[in-house]
Amino acid sequence: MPGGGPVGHERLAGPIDAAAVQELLDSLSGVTGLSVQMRDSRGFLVPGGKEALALCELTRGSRDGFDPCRRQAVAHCPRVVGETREYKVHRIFHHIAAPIRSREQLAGIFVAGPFLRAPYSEDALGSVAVRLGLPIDQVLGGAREVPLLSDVQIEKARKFLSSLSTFVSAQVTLQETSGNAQADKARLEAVISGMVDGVAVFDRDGRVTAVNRAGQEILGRRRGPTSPYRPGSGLTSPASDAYPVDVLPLARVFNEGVSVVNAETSFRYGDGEIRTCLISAAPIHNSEGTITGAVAVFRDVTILKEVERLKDEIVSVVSHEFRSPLTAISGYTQMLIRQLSKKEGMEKELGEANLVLAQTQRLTTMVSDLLDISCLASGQFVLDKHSVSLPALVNAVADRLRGLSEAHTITVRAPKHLPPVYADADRIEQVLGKLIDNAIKYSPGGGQVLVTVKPNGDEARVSVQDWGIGIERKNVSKVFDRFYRVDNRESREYEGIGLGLHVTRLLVEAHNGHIWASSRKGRGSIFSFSLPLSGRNGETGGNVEKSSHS
Amino acid sequence: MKKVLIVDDDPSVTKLLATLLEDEGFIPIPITSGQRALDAVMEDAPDIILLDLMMPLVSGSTICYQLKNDHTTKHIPVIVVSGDGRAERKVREIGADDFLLKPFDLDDVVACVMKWCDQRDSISCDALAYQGDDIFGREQPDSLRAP
Repeated sequence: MPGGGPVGHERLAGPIDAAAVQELLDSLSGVTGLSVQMRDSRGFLVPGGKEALALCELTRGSRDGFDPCRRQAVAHCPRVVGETREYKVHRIFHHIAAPIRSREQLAGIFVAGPFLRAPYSEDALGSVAVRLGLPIDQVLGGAREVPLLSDVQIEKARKFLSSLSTFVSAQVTLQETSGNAQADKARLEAVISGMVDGVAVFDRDGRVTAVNRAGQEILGRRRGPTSPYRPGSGLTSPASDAYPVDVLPLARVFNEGVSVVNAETSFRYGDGEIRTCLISAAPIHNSEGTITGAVAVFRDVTILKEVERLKDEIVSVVSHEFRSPLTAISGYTQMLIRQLSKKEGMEKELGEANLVLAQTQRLTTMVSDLLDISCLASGQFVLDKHSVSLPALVNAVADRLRGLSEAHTITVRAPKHLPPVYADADRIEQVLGKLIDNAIKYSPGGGQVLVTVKPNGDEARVSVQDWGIGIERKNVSKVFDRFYRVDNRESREYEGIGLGLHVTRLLVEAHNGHIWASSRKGRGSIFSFSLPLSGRNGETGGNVEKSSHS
Repeated sequence: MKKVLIVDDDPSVTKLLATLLEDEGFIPIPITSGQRALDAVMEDAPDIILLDLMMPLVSGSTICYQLKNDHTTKHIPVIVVSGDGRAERKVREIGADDFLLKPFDLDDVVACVMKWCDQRDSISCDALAYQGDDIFGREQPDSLRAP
């Protein structure tokens, strides 16, 4: 059986009573002598009822298989959108086709025919039989059954089919639309019930009227869903007091008519377990705008919170545990240096002790960088922002670093007056320090390190330029990536694990600034960053503010 | 000679600081237990305190908070010495006076201790002067009188 037919049948079989329709069609046949069929959108006959097949019987191979009538009916129907139409088959016979439509699509066809509008010539019909490869006698015999209709009869048949197709179209459309609505509803329910987040609908009194599985889990597992928004719900805050109802997100929705997004709330269950949820809730209004209920989404973030806490703990422990031995190593080395420098002939030992100290400082920087990255990446980093004068800051950092290398000259070019930036001075100092340190490190031959500060529109731009070994063009964009180091033999001689520049990027971005580099191999590099200049009120768009003093 | 109480659970750090401060002419009182810190303050009446924050059982924050909320000890400068750079922000919250980040530069430690000893001296003088005013009920200068 050619595929697809039954699907077309089912589309019609569901919504309409095929037997009743067939009875109507048969009565039309009785009046006009026409064969009338209902076919699906692909032209296959819809089974059921008496079928007067007439010419089709003569010209097709099998009932459901290919036949010229089916092909012609379908071919004509897309052109008869919305109207019932007459067309010719095999030169002399006529059909009337009426489309059954649902939502702009062809759902099926009524076909009436064949009939004749005028007496035919048997020669013409004979040539049709020859063309179709059928016995002439059989075709002529069949043709004698074909009625000759008057214009009036044809018009009546056309109107009848037109009305019938309009009626059936409406039935099919209705059925399919409501079917679709049901399918949509089922799909929506499946989505909501399958959601990992809890979803619950509440009435005006805070009672749960609908809740998905995850919501049931969160709102109460033993006694079925209880509302956490009603006194005596059994859900309590982690401190084991009953929740003050007014502070709960849903209470705010009801009392203030606002939507609440991701309000963090912890519940303590009867068994002592505490879960933390992010709750988003919004009011449901009726057509008059009165709040009739609310819908809330609960996201259980208990595990996330725990992971966050563990990470904090690890960062904190690492910070402490690494720094304690570093403190001792660094401190005693400094003591040693103090003692050695008081004695004569200890230059070699003094040099070695200084080497130990330098390496200890390097290790300390790495630990600090790792901690900074961990905090910055997790968004826990707090910036202590104030109005900062960049020229003053840059000069101070340059002064401090001048002692770092005798082979390098640090030059600062900065305007006397520049509007302040709203920034954490320590952190910007850290960025500058790393950039200048980098410039010194990667210009081993010594020379100038030029630090420039200048305004650029509504931002301040700071550049640190060296004339050192430079970076290959293809690698320039990667230098701010975490753990990135220019991987060649040359740079292995330079210390670092590729964290410093990554830290500078995170720090500058935390200030809503940008950082970038330009470089040419063998010619040197320019590392630049920009920070937004303060507006009149000293504030910029910064969103990471110091919280401890607010 | 000024007495400096050094509180840190790591003996290598207390020993280091004690040696350093002794060389610089201070009297160091090293202790390695947070629990003993408050007793030590009462017994030894230090002029200045170097305090680690992260210690088992009793944290530096708790100690500092208690010292700064007791009128007999709140005048003693407390310098927090911590390995956690983020702790610098906590300094003001817990009422401490200064902060040193571990690992520290020995010169910075000495400079910081000296700075607070000097300040303490001047604060003490102010306090005495103020007390004098109260005790003797000296009249306010005319310029401060209400018309």
